Amino acid sequence: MGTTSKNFKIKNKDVRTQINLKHKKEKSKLKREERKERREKGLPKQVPDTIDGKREYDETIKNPEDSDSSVDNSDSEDEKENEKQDDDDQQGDFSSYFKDGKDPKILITTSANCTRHAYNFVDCFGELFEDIKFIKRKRNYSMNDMARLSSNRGYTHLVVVNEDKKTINGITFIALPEGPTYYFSVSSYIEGKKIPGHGKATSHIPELVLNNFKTSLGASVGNLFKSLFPHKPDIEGRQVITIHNQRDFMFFRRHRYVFRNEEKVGLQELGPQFTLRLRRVQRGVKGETEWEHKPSMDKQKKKFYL
Amino acid sequence: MRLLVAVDDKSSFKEIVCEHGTDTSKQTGIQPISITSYKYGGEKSDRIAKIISFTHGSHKLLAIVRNNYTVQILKLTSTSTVNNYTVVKSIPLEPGNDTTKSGEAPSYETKFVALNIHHDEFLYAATQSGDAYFISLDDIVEGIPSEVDQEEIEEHEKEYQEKAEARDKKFEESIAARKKDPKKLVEPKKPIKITRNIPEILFDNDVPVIQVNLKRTRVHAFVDSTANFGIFAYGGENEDLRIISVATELSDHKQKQLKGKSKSKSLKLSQPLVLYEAKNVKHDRLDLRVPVWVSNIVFFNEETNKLDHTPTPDEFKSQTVKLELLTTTYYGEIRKYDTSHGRKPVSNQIAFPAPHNTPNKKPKILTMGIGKTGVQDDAIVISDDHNSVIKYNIVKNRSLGKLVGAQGATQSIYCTMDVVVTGGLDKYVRVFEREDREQIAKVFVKSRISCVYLVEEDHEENDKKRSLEEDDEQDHSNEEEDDGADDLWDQLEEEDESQLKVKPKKKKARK
Repeated sequence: MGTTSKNFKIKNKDVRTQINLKHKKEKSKLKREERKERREKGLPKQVPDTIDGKREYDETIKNPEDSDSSVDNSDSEDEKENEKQDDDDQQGDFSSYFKDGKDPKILITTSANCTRHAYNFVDCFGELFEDIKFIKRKRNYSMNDMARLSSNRGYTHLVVVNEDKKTINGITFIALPEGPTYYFSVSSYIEGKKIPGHGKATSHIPELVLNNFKTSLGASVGNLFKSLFPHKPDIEGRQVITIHNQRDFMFFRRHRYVFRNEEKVGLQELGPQFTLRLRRVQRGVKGETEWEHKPSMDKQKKKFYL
Repeated sequence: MRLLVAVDDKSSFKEIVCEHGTDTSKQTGIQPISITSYKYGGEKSDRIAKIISFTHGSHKLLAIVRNNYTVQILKLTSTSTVNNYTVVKSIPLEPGNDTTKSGEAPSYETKFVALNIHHDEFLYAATQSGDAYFISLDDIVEGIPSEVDQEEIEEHEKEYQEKAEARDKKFEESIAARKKDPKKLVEPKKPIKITRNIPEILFDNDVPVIQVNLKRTRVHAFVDSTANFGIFAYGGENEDLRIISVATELSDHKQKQLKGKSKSKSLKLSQPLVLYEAKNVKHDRLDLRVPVWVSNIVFFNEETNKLDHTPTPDEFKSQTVKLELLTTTYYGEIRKYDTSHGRKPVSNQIAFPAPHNTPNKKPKILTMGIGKTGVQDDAIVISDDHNSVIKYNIVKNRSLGKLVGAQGATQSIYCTMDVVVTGGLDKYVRVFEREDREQIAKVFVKSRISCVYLVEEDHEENDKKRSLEEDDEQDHSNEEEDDGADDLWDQLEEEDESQLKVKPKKKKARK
């Protein structure tokens, strides 16, 4: 009991809750006043402690302050040049998209012997992308075969949806022809129709918002998502896909926006919703492991990899 | 320590100078002293496959083999602080008939599987498509003056000094800032970052190359015997271990060099003399052929197996010659061969335990680290295609423990007597102590690493002593602080909270 002492307890529940509520209200009122005082004094807003805020130091995160604060001009130029090159490096895996300006062409399939759940998911997925083709999975083709055949046919991405026990549990993205291969686990999938107040999507190419892909691994995942969408979105469609990364969970949402006035923006969710988590990055088509999630990584609560 | 790192994504290589205890992933950890990247071209086909450094005569040299079939010889001129590399020779190698279909092998795969020095006389390189190249070191050194570019190195030294000063200034500033605002962390001295193009001064570029076609398509390992001249071994995908001899060709070349003043010419050989061919292991319990894919080879017990003459194939057939070899395979096995004991392996062990989620999938053995001098203390260091690197005892046939740290597959391992250097797809170079497998240094290099090479080692003992002393000091200072801390806390209780919170942080920063 928050307000009463440990030894004393009001026995009537109704009275007890009323008293507790009263105390609670008083407390929050006090806090509000404190905040007001701070505002009036001109003090900065207090930042709540979050796990995100306590994130462990990671040298692969590019620090924007670094290049700004450097005094020497020559130094900063050098560094900028270096950074430019680093960007090139990270985009190197998707050079056909970033350098040659090719638009993506996606082949999507499922794991072998899957049920309608996977096919429904693939249908939803198919609506998101511009140039995407579904082919039913046949048992006799391995991932390597499929990657080879589809890259011969000019596809830039191979997507394989994994179904287990009638739920979607994973997606593999293979950048063709030379990889890398990304494997994500999928959870909390909700199709668009089940979202209350959902809208109907149009076939316009959506805009893309990527949040929080900071580390070099994160940047490479971000580049994967960028490379899945054509370079120029149809802005008149007012549709936007958001992939928000928070503590290594990537939340996928799709909205339609409208600018009500200069300040307010209206959002309507179109769906689907799902959550991705990076499990493995492999070089080439399922080659050597570049990065792999391990259960022991979850023990470190303040270390994030994306 | 002075490390050379060939990165995968660019055609450049980096030189990292760091000390014992360097760790770039700690905010307040020791940072490397300098990172210099040497750029060259920029196309993917120019990528560096292998790097080695060697000395011949008075020359300190570096050999690089690039995926576009060129061997570059770089001359090293150095002062106390700065190293300068100049390309003095660029030797084009003639690609043999590449029987693999173009586009089949991914572009990131290194075309060269070996680059090393054989008996301080020949530089050899071998490709995956089955060509071996031998270049005499005397031919390489011919025409190179002992001093190449004094002016340039002075310039570089100037640049280095300027950058070092700027760095020190920054460090002092951060200390000053820290004094004003105790919440700020003292940032460690950042590494001096230098980017420069490799200067190219070519001297008499026409170097004779002995090219040997192995008549094999997928070679994954090509090594020399350090004790016996002209003896090499190779193997690969569907190519079991073979021992060959090119001793006659190499010694012929040497003779010609000594005799004739006129230059010896490049030579092309169709097939070397095959001394020994290994046989595959027995069929498995389902009576199926066990697939062959040799990934690494090494000769061991070389001192005891030193031959006094160049052996012939007949001697191998009658099993009178004893050479011992060790191979690792892509299917996770470690095999030992003894040429005086038949053609099948003497022992066949599985190195890595199978992962729990896929018990029937054995991890591939990708790279093996052996020292410059071969197997030391009966131990080799091997890595798989996931993230484990282990030290393995080849006599007892068991793992001696992991080298913990790597997050991605390790692409390259370099061993010396004291340390093991690893680099791989997780973009970190790590240095471990060989004996107790502890990580000594860890540096982030921003791109995937294809090859690492340790040029200069720290004096291990000095370092150990120093670190021990430091530890002692730290312990003492900690104790003192702890004693005083209680009193401090009592005093501070009346003061405001902000100072209280800062107090323990301060201690950390001092460490």
